[in-house]
Amino acid sequence: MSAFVRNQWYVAAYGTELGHGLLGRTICGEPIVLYRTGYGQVTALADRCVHRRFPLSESKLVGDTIVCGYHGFTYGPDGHCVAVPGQQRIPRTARVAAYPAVEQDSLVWVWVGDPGRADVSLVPRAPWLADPGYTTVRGMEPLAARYSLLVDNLMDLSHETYLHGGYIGTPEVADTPIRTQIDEDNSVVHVSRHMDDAQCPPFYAKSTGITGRIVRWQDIEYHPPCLYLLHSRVAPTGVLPRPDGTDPDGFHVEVVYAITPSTPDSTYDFWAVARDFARDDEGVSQYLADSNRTVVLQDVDALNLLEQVIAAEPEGTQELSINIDTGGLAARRMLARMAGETP
Amino acid sequence: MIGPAVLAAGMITSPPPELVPLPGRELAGLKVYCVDWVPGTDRLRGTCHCGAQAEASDPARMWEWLLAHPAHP
Repeated sequence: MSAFVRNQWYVAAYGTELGHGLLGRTICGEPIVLYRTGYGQVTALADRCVHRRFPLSESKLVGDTIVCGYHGFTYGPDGHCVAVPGQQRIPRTARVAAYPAVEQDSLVWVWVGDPGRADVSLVPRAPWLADPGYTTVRGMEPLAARYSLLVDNLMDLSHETYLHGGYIGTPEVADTPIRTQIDEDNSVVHVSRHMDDAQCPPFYAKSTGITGRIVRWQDIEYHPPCLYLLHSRVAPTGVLPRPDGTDPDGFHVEVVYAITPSTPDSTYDFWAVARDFARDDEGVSQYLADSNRTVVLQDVDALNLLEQVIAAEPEGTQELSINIDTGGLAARRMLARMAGETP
Repeated sequence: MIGPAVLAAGMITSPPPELVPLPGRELAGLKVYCVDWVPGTDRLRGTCHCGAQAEASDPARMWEWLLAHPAHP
């Protein structure tokens, strides 16, 4: 089983999940309590009271402090204990870890590795999620499977034809050759599949209104370990971007996944679909939200089953890779390198 | 590494015309490895950032060869 890649940024929550309450999430095996201070600052602390290990996420937020729900140990946003029950002296070691946290592009990112290596300039970007020129629907589904299975799943979209037929899959997805690129300088894996003349699956037919066949481009941009971007362009067959690079006749969907390992065999599957068309159409938003959640749950069911199968098999059981796996193998190699393993 | 027997039939010395970057998706990094699934075939064509190319029919071996840079020809 792959080790966690700790010295990386991970999405812990959507910014909208953090009001003035407490949210517990486990990231790379670390229980974390998240909340927003009165000034709007996102805070991430270890989710265990130093006293008797009670979860702080099940405690009470008073002002900007967390009061442990068991004995009242009280912590500030920096993790230091500011009050203990029944005595004046606060033990010197009474503090919980505070994790670097950043809110960007509507996502809350945390760093569970060496705090000295947490560089906010390296938080990967998904600007469409906070761009007023796009309308976004989103969700999060817990996955009872190791995160690498979701990486494999998303890096090989040929599975759309078989697992998601009737939603986003058509025969052309599995039949179209791909280009895969590893950008070593920027630690990004790209997989492109450009279909010139394809069926329009319901996901795009109902949201765009296109009734005939389409040009469908899928350009994956995976920033290991956490952020996966699928730049999707659809248009009627023959309609391409203009020579000057503008593309007013294309429909653009930015599909964003944040793949966040929780425990060795569970994962947070954050998903978002941002579009630049029918932006004010609530019906389209509802349709895309329902459809994409259905598709995600189809993946969740399949990967939960796969996890049970793999967990019961001896380590290193042989599998077989073919051309469609070129991107997934590239991602595995980059993740193994990040984890310090031999690829 | 891909063995010499695997590479012998697939070695390419000059980039074919279809290996130009895809429109709008040119990569920013300088150290880019590329694997194209050759249309109409079951073959994969790998191109290293140094310009070396090879063909193979197995993606795992293709990456092994590419990422062995600069040990490949």
